[in-house]
Amino acid sequence: MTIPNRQWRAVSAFLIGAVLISASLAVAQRPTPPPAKAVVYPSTMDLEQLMKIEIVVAGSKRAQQSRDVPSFVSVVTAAEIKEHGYRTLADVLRTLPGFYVSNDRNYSYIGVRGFSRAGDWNSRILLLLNGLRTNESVYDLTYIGEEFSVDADLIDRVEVIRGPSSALYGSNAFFAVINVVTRTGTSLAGGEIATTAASFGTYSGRASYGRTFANNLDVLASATYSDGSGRDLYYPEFDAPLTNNGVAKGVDHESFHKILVTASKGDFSFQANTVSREKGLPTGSFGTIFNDKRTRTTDGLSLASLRYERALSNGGSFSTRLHAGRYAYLGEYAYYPDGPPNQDVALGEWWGVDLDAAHQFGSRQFLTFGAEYRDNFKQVMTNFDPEPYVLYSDHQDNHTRWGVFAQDEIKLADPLMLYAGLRVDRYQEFGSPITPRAALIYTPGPATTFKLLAGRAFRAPNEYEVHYATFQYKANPLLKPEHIETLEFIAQRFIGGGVQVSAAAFRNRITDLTNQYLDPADGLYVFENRDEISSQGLELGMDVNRGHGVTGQLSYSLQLSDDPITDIALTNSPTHMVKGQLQFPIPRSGATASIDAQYMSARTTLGGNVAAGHTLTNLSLFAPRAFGRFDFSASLYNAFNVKYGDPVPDGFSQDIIQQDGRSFRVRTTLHY
Amino acid sequence: MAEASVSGRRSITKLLLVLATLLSGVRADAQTGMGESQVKAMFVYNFLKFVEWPVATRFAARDPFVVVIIGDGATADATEHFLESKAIGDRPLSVRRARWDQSLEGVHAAFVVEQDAKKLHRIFGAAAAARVLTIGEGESFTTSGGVIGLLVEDRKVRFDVDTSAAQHAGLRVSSKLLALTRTVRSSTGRSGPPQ
Repeated sequence: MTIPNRQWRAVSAFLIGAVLISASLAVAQRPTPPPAKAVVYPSTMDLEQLMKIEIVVAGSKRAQQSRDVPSFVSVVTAAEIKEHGYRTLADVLRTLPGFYVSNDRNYSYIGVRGFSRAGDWNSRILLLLNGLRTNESVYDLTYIGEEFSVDADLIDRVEVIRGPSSALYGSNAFFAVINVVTRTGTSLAGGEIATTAASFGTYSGRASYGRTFANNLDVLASATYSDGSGRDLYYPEFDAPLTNNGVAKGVDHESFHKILVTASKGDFSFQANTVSREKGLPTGSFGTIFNDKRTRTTDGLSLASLRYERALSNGGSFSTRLHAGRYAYLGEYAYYPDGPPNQDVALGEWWGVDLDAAHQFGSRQFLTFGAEYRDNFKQVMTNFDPEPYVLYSDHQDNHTRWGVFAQDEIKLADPLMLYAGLRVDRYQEFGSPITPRAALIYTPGPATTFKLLAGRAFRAPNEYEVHYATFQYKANPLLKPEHIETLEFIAQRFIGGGVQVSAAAFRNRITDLTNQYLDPADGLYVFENRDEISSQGLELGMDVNRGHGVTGQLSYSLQLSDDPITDIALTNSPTHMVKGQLQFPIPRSGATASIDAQYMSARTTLGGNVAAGHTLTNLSLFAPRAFGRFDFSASLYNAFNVKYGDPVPDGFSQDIIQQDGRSFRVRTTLHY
Repeated sequence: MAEASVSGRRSITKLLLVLATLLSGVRADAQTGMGESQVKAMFVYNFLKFVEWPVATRFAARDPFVVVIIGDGATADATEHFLESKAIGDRPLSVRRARWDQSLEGVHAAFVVEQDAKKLHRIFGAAAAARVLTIGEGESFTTSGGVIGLLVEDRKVRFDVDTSAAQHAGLRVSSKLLALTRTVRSSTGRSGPPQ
């Protein structure tokens, strides 16, 4: 392989970044009096409370140190979210090696290791909220922007587990599993009122309260409301007198509300949340009238679960969870100048039960087994014009799924662990996908870990892909699950001075990829299992914690993906990414400053164009407990006003959607 | 559509109320949501409050309480991070990193990550001489001469205390701490946690 100029540029950017971070760390190392650090952990917990805390990591469904999890894991904490001014889960994910985010001015889409299909609404990722599946039942979609289930301020940490995890979680655990753990009442220890003002006329407020009562009941309740008028946007594709010369005015509004309630007592924990977001579509997509205020989407997701978990003697445990959920989508699309817009409706309602048990056999084996049952009892997709009433599609369905899995952790020798797992899922429509996974973890010393992983994952086609049919789309009842096979090698080491380095090399092969095509015979879009994708890549990372609040991360990701049959590179797939985060205290102020920078190389688009490579820089200031009870934060996003755009899915006149230039957010949080 | 979504919200609210009612009658003892190293760091902080240093050891009021971190690892990082802004009573905590062979004079407590038995022996010797509380991880930490060892059992953090190592360093571990200890070791042998 010859190395083109572009790659050298990325490598040198990485090296320059490394030098800059090291230099700034050296400067920051000068002995200054330790500043008052942001309150990261609840500071008032006594020993009795601490003895009750359970440690959770989703990687193998039981508590483990992340170096023992059979995957490449990243964890982003509440403190980082606050101090770096991350607004959404999307902001968190785009800082991680191998992850990127694109946006079509309505939804945000995750890209992992070079693969991002905007039209899959993140259904190739499994997103958990405190271990509960958030992917809904009609599109299997999950959201990471403001449309995500909980306010980013309520996140205690985000655990990101790369690689296929279907062997534990079944469908959708294709590229990664992301577990969002929310804060507890104990960590709130009182009330919080946050008010936010941001660019483009965005104002939001959050009120939260949490505490532990004398009877050990831990409760948290929080509500967020936000309203933003959005920007006026110019799209050259619509630059004609009839379409307002390409200017979409007042069509970019976004408003949402979110509610989260959690309670735990003894072995029981309960959570319920609901989110509803409405967004205007300024892009004139799907053939709608450009610059029409009637075009908008509303997404609502409500989840509730009750979990019981009991630790058994000799290291075993038992847990079960009863859950229910509801997803409602309404797309209002203005195709005609008069009358109410076309209504695109989806409704999914489900309930389910999970069961997990773990048992230690002797001193060398730990067996986990579990079962899941889910009843998608209401699956509705409707499309109609209200006036005059024309029904284009009316699909109603229901189905059940179940899965069973087992994983064995075997201590082969003292520093060598073997993980072997297998899961069988049962679908009424597509049979029984079997997904195995194996991992070897070698820990020669406390500072060094090597992991070798091999696994297979699947994603079952969803209701939408199989059955959606309107005047633009047709159904395909013959769709079958797609699969991915992954081989990965990971090395991690603490090299002293608070520095950890990591490297991961991976190879992915996707078969029977479900993708949307335009059938030339009838001009209708249809999903088919046609593609095969191969990709390979490398992720290098460095984590630095120099004490006194000085931390930094630097990473480089390389990935090469193509369709081996056509040998064509994947769209929306950057070859190189370099990311750096640096955070340091501002002397004698108690505040912290942070810089985030992300470079992404060029991406090709569906239309055969190129979205240029770009570097985004975000700056944040965070002052905790100023005037005793207030936290202040101020952030500047895309500080250098870099012009860049993201490739978009089918259905857009644009091939690349221009993203926001410089924008800001200021926030005050009152603690009481 | 709007109607359907309102009724859905209502049924979720109902479910919530029913479950909350059920819950309020249930006995409790667990919380979830923190990483192992963060929890361990909070344990380390608490230990400092339950150990008495000999009166002779250079405590002037308001002098900083000095903790050193020897070695690397997630818990070492989290401990350093957590202790930075804390105080023990009126006394601010001062945290710094140290090499295994550095002097421990003027230090009150050390969080130690070291696998090499010889280096560990040397650290424990220096710690006992300088009246330093040693805290580390794993079952072997207290069996090889450390005072308090953190470990994870049934997904929860637990700790062992070696009272003879504490005595050797002139430290007194409060009975309140010993009451929560998984295993108390002493020169007279092993015993379970006091009932």
